[in-house]
Amino acid sequence: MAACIQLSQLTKRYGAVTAVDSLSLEINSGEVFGLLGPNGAGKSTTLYMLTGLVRPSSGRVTIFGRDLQRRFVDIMPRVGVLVERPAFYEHLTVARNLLLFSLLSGKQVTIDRALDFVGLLHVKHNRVSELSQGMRQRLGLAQAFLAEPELLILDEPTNGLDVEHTHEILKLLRRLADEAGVTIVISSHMMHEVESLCDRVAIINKGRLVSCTRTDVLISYDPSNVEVLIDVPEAAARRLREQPWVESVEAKPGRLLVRLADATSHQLTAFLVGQGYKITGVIPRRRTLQEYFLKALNS
Amino acid sequence: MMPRVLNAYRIELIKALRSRATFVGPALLLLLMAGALFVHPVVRDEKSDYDFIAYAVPSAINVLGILLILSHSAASVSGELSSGTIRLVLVRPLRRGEFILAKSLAGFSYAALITALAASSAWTAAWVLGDLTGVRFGGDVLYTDRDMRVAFLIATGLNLPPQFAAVAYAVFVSTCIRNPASAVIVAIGTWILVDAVKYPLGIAPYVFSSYLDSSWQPFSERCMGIESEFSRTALYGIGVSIVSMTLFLAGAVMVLSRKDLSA
Repeated sequence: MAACIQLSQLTKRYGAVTAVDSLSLEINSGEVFGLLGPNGAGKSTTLYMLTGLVRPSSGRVTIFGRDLQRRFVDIMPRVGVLVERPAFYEHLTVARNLLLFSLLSGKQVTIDRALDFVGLLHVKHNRVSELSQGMRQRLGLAQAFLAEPELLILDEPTNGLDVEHTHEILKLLRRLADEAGVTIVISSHMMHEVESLCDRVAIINKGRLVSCTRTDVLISYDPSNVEVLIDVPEAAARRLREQPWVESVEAKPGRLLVRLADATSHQLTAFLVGQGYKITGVIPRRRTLQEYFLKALNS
Repeated sequence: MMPRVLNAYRIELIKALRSRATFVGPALLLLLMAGALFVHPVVRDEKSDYDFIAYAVPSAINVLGILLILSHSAASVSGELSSGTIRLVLVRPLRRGEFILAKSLAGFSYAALITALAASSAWTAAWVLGDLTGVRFGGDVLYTDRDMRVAFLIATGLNLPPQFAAVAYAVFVSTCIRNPASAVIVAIGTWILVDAVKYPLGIAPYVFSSYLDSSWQPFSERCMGIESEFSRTALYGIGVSIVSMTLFLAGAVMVLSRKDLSA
């Protein structure tokens, strides 16, 4: 896949503080890419450098093969951006706000289509000042989709949305990537959203890239990590902790969470049955993005 | 570049026309003009009333008008910085310098509107309520009505470059200060301060605000029957205004280009 975005040694300093430190990344065309990190890690700063809102102290941003600083006005018609807490002209209607942004895009756009995407067609003629927080967030998404961009850069896209609208937006974003080949870069705190939506994830901490990997690899089933449904978990846990082939055991009501060092789940089951415990189920556990994230940060 | 600037300017006009605040200034100006009729009554007495125009228009523009212009332009960029709307504007294909130009064009339009309103309302009032039959001195026609109209138009036109320089100055302040109220206070406060010290310091010829008054002088003198022509002072006024406008706009572009627009 061709690279849509290339970050080369991207750095941003605010006085003595380095918010982003020599970040180098490539994001492929048609990919959904997530940026994860704790608060103050530099995710938003990185996104804002991608959009030209923040100037890098050094390094380079290349989008569609062109240098962003030099070819900004050529690149941006193909990019849709959602910033955190988007602000609109309060005294104007929803439709009028989108019309103004569409004029700046320099493209013919259909406002109704963008509003329909985000379920705001019914409030087209309402003033922005009358909208709820969730509706404003959806309006923010609508203005990002407005010119049918090839690249979407979204900072906390589901911020303030209810469960139903979050699900719809995530579905829509996935469809845009799969069917229209739109490249999507997302910064989010919501692990489960990033896990379900993104093809690849980069973890940033203290301005540095900690890891960058495919989510399907991260969250695959781990055969050494099993959940056992058992009658007496506390007693079983004590017996298992004595075994050299068990790395760790956690007893919970009605079940055990076991990490195996050098054994299979079949061996584990056979051992527990041999000890006289009643087992009703053995479930291989999936890695979660949260586990990977915390492990990556701690390492 | 020009299509983008004109698009952005068009957006400024649309926003302004849909905001009630835009019309407060012109309404106040018209009230002031109406008030001027009480201070300087105009009646049909076969004596020309160009002196009412010479009194009302410079007073309206150089006092209220300039305050309105400074307030409008000082809040233009700072309002968008403060509300955050600038972030959604500047992720569009629009350079920051083009954004500043569009804001300045909107300011120039507002200044031109204020000037046109003051000029047309004063002239209309004098024409409807009084006499505009030329300036006579000792029975002879010194200046015909046409001469006076031309002089008035030239004076109005010469008043525009210093007003545009005032717009550029206020836009510069607006780019430096995030809070619109603070930007307005600083813009007006600094204006008053410079006005107070420019003559004692001997820098008046280099300050564009000096030419707001001087542009009206030839017209005012003609109203009093004094022979007067537009002198080189007018050219100096245009030159100083253009230089000031250029410096302030360049400063505004430089400041905004270096600003980080994160949340």
